[in-house]
Amino acid sequence: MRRPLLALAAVCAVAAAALLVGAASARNEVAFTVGLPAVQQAEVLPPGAEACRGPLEARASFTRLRVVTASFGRPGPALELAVRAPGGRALGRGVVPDGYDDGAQVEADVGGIAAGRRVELCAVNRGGDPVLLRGAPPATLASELDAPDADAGPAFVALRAEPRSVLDQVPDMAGRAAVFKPAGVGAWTYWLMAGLVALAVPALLAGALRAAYASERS
Amino acid sequence: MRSSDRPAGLGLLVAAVLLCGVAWALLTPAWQVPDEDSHFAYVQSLVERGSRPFDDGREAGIAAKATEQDLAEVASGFLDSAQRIESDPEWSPTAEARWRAAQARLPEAAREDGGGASSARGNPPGYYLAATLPYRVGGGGTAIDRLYAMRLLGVGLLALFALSGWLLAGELLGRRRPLQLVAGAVCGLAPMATFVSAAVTPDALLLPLWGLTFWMLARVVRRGGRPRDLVALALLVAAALAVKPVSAALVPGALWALVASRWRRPVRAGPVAAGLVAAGLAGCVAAALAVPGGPRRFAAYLWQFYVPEDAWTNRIVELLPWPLRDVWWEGTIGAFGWLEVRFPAWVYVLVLALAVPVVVLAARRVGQRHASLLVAFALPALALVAGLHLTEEWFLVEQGEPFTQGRYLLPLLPLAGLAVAGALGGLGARARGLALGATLGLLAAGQAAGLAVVAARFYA
Repeated sequence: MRRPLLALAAVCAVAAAALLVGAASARNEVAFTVGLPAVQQAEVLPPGAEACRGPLEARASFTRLRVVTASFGRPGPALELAVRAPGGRALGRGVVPDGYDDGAQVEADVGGIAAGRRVELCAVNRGGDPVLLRGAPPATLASELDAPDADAGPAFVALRAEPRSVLDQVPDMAGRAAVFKPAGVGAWTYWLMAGLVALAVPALLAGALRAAYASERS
Repeated sequence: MRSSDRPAGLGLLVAAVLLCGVAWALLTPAWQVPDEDSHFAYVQSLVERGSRPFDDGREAGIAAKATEQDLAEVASGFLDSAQRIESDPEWSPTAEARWRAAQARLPEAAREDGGGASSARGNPPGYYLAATLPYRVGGGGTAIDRLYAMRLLGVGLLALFALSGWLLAGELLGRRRPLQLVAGAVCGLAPMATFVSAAVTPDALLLPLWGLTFWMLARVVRRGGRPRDLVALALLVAAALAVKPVSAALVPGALWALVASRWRRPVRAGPVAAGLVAAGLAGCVAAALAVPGGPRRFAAYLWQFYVPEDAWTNRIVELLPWPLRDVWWEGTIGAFGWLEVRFPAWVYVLVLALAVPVVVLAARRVGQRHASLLVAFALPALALVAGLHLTEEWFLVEQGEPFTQGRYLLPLLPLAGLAVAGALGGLGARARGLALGATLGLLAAGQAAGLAVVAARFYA
């Protein structure tokens, strides 16, 4: 009877270790996104023009902004990427120098923006040639993203100062998972569920295995 | 009760299955299961409007769902993130608070203006009628409250699915509780089965109905068709048909079981296999002539489906490069969310490497005396696969989009559980013990890994 239980425990232990290593090594620099995938032409910006998304809540803190561009076969013009408060007050800005490739994803450092802040994300054409921002229509199912009459908005990718591992984000993830859930569900629910799945499920299966073998012996 | 009559271990297995099911139900964001939005809308239409969804002339995009559901889908970020792996659902408690306030201001009529044409409207009402009960239990809450209450119905049905695997193994392998335990665990703890069952979808009811039907097919064939078994079989097939039309695939197996139960002479495996192959070929020819694109196109479709991509240029661009791998294998082992959330590629290879010896060992245990049973199981399986291919070809030709998903093969999971149990049953005591423990460990690990990739997809 010991062998089956040991095998079960060994597999669970190896899997737990593998999950921890995987979570520690999976690193991600994206804080949050809006308007992805960038499958449509969202805005053509003539020199001096701007396009914004928001107001929206910064769902995680970030320091850089990225946009997806097209520049009509020419090197792209200088772009200012800006973060503003809903009233228009500047919270951060950075400039992408001109000369980037047609179709490039470009980014600029905009300074530290805290999670939870309501912001507008903007791109301003500071060059002498037009630039196109790619994006996706808001509140649209993936299957309808390429509909010709869809009104796409530009895509913005908010990036962290440093990539964070999934393991490092687990405390935040428990809180995020509790949002838009039934009343009474909180971050504690997910901590509890994680503990139960990690410990109680193997224990229950071990108990079931023990009982099944005991029944067979008798 | 004799000790051999006691379902030792079953209660603990069910507890583990329920626990995992609740974890999946709570972790997966609202509507982030294929077509869950349409299934929710179906139930809401039954409860609030007293009718199934139907094309009432309104524009489908507006009429399919009630205003209340539209509001929640937009606010929760479902529309911006479903199937879009670059985007996350809404995490902000402030956004949730704004939605709750808006939901509280909605009039009763905001629940009643759906019910129009949707992707689920062709389904029979069997599952949806059952789901009206949890919908009503959560009726005083928000749309999200009701959605999650309905998901818990599926968690209970998942336990029934595990029970069906247990019963099937018990019928065919005897009351060997460790083997029954592993067969039931395969049904109840395979990550994809848990993910699908812990959602609002008719598949949650379809799975246990198919599992119980396989059990009853085995009883009818082995025990000579006792009246109560025949009645139970008929009721199960009828119930499955009331849930999803694909359950028509059970009918050939049920008819065969009826014939086999009356046929007292032994059935020879050779002629049976030849008959199955002949029936399969005849079916293919008939199907090829019936499909809208014609036999040549259908053959090209099947070729692309089963043959690796480098053996043939992809002529049907709507299909994934190698659907046998990309849709059926990976989609059965684990394709979560709207199919965009997957395990690392090596996981699918590992499961394949484990499945091959299971199939070999199980096949070695099948003898002449099992011929009738094999037919009873093979007919539904073949009919299911054939039906999926025909439906997909119709979709490709008529609508230019693929149809098949790996989860559509999950009703066959009890047969996989039986194969695992049968394979392990043929091992020596020592090896069997190790393999049993390792199999249960792998299922527990699969649950944890599946939950982890879903959590990382939506919340990291």
